[in-house]
Amino acid sequence: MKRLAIIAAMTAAVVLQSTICSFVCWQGLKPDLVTVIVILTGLIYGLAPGCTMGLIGGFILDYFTGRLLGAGALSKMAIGALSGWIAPKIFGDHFLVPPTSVLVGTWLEQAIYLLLANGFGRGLPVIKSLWTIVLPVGLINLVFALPIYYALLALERMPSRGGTGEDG
Amino acid sequence: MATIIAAFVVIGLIYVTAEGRPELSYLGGKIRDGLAPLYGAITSVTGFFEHWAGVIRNYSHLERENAELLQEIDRMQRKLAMVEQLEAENARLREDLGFYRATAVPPVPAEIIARSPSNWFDKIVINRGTAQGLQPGDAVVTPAGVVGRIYTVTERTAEVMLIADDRSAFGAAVLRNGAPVLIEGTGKGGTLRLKPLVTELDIDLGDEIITSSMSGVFPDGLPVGKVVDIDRGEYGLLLTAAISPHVDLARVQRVFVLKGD
Repeated sequence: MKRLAIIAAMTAAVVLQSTICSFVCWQGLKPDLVTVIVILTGLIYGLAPGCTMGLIGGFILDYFTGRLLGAGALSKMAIGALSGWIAPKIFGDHFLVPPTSVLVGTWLEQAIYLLLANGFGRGLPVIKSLWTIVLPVGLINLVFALPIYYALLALERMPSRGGTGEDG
Repeated sequence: MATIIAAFVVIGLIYVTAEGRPELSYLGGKIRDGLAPLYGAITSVTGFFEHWAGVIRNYSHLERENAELLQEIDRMQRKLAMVEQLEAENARLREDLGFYRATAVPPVPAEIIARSPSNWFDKIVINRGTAQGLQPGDAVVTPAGVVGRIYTVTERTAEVMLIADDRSAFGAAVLRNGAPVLIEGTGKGGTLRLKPLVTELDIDLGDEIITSSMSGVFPDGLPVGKVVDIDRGEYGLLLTAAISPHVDLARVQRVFVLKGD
């Protein structure tokens, strides 16, 4: 049930990125809310859920983008897995952990996407793209880190139908 | 006897005061001057009480009147905002109408309903499709200039590849001298890249770039943008220029589709 809620949230994030976010974009860039959700899912739920949600969220985004189907799925799956893997090692209750994870995670995810896109013949200028897309998107995502983190945390703490709260 | 005397005195007084006197007596003047401050003080105090009595009497009336005026101001402000909105819409529709009349084949007006959710691709989705006769390759423009061309189309929607997309390239010309050039998208950043199609291209900052039908992508003469930077490369052999498009591709909301043959 909670996974479905997260998938629904990611679908809603893609719709938002296609519509409202275009009007509040900064330097022509919009937040990548799906990546934020994937990183934070890994952070809260662990490696496997992070990886799965990355794969699903990436495919949803790729489908709506309509190009390079799978590149976003791969990059987000990798970052979801990394986030889930690293969480038990670093994770504490400090409020700086989620924003820092989102910032660094977004930079990594966007860099992986850039490499994959170029690997499949996109031919994007790497240095320019790092400066004009990868770095700013990380900063934009940072703004959304804490609100989404606390929303996911509230979802995680919600008792599920069976009452265990662990169907995640 | 005393009554008779008193009657005479009174009659005398009446007689004396029956006509206006241009000058006061010395004593009368001093008395009035001496009483003047007192008169003033009394009048002031009376006026003060009279004023506040009026205020208290009219308070409920003023309160009601104030509320009515505030409501009126609110109504007027809303009307003013509506008028401003209508004025802007009217100006935009007039511009669209002028463009509509200027084209040989009536263009299909469309609204942008979505944009690429990814930061890595520049595309928009419009609310017109095969039902309106659109097909891939159709030019998408605004009265200000070119926007892109249709990439994929469904019955009710069409995906438009913007001219800023790094896979977009089309032929154009320098308005001042007609020199042919190639315009390429550069992905993000808002500018386009110009490459010359002739040796020794004559181009200056501020030159206007228009579309050329020779490329087979856009009709002739549509505005593209303005030259904002020129890089002549080493030895001036590899000239490229940055073009700032006339259309704000990140914010455009309404477009026209020029249907092909």
